Amino acid sequence: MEVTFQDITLAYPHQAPTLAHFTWTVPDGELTALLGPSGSGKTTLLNLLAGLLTPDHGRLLFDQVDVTHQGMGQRNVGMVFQDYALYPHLTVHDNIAFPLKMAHVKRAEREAQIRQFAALVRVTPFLQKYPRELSGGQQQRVALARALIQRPAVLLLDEPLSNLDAELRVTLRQEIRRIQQATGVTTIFVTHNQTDALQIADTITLLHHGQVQQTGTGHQLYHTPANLTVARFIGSPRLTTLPFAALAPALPDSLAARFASSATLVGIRSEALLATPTPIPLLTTQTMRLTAQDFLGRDIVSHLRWHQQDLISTALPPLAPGEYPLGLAAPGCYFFAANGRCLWTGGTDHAES
Amino acid sequence: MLNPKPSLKTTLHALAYLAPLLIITVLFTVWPLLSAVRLSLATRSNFYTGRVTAYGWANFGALWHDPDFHRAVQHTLLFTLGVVPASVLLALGVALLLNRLPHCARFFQTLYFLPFVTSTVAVSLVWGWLFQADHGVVNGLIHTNIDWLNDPHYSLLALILLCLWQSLGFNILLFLAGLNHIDDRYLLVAQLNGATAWQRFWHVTWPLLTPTVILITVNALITNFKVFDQVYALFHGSAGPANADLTLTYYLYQKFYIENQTGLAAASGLVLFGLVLLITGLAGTYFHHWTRWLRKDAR
Repeated sequence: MEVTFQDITLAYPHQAPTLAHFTWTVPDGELTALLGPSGSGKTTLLNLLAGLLTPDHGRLLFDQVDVTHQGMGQRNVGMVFQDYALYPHLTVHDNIAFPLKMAHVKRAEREAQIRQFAALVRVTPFLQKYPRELSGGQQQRVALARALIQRPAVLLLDEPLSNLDAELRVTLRQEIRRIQQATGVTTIFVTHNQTDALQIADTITLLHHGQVQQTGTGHQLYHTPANLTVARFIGSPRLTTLPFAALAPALPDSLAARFASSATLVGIRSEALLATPTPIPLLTTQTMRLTAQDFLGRDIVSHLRWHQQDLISTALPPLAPGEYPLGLAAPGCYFFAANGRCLWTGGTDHAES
Repeated sequence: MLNPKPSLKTTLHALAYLAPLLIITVLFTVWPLLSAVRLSLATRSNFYTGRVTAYGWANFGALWHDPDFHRAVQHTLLFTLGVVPASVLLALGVALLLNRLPHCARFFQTLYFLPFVTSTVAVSLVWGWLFQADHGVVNGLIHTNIDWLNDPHYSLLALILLCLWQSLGFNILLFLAGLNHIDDRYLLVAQLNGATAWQRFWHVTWPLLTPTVILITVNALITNFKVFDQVYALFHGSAGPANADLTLTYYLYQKFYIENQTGLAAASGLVLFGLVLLITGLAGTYFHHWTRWLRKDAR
């Protein structure tokens, strides 16, 4: 089911509009991650989809059918909450059975479907247990089964991994991916965690201040960000920025001249600062002072100082503090206009148009 | 000194802390209870000296043949088995409605709660006035001419109405607390699961409200086993016309303070005790089964 937000405006009383002329399309049958910091409007979008909120203006379409004014029960939206909201008084079996029971599905048919979905999410051994007897990950699977058994038009996952520990998080991420592909249900995965989004989603939509900043694959968002917000939000460690004027004298003349009037800010990914010599083509080589290195397992985060600017690199070997000639590679180097729009993405002129 | 092993010393230490309450409990609960058992078995005794000269089952035999006692038991059972469920359901209904009220909920809560904090005597006097045969408000409202307080056919109903009304506010308050305790998201999920309003209530709200229902029911059982002051005040120191409003507690009072039949009073007290034990025990067993999901060792 394709979901379309059409020119939607929504304001809470006595506040600036949370969404203004918001337009967004979620492709059919895909897993779309809705990524954004808290307060970006993610929850508002979910509530609109679920029917908890009705927009002031605009339309919400499910496959070209206007559902803007349909109630929660009619839309057939499945939802998994952050802490699962499993009915505590019902066993796993009865929790999964709940939507079918409400729809008065015959017992034999019901049992067959429960078996099928319990097997899909792998909770068959726990069917007779109560939610409180299950671990977080198991509860999550049960919540998924309960949402899926009603064959929802859209499945909404509201920060489904944020209550799990790191290891379980990875497992469940893969599980959600597998289950989504097995069922082919259009899924919207809301998260503030870029790793979750990058790992799981077919496409990612980055939301900020109630506006879609960019929609694309994780690769597109990382390598060809549409604007500064996207470039800053995606990637770890965070993009370092410095004024264009500070870097311009070091850049090849043609490049510096071409963006002299339009660019105000340069963004540099941590992997774009390299030890020289390197076979990778470089924009420039500069002597920089290494002030400290943090050892984070596989990664080494090097803190650098160059012309009163702080820079970060993750591409340097262990080194003693001191001055080193370091190269700046074109990929991972972005120029931004004053309004934040990305003008140049390291030679892949994708965002230039 | 974390987790010292239990020893004689630590046990005595703990006992010292428990002693004040233990002494009070033994002195004012256990000992009187044992005395009541002794008194109920005494067929000839002097209450003031405490000397008992003959023991036997005669007191219980007398109760067995006393029509007044039968009536008292009947009424008490009516209160516990009939009025209790009615008052619980009524309170639940009002609480559910109040819970949906966007404004003025506080105002209505206070309004409903007032009877509970008003003295029973004052409440009974006002109801006595409402129930008046000639110019009473109740008769005026339903266009009847019933002599509520002097007609043995209606006086029990009058008493029940008063008790219902008096306990309503407190039960509503407890139910509202219980309803507030239920996470809104369960109802939200149920709605997304396609449950109708009635299904949401029956499959989600009601089962999740169980702990509150148990609390209110047990509390109401205890209250309704002890109906006395309402009778006393509403019928000015009698048990209603032709003992039509006689309850077990009132019977006990009559035998002890008015007729000085201490043995009979003690025996009826023990019967009341047995009834309370039986009914709360039954309720407890039922609820225990009903709340399996609340316990960790479920199944």
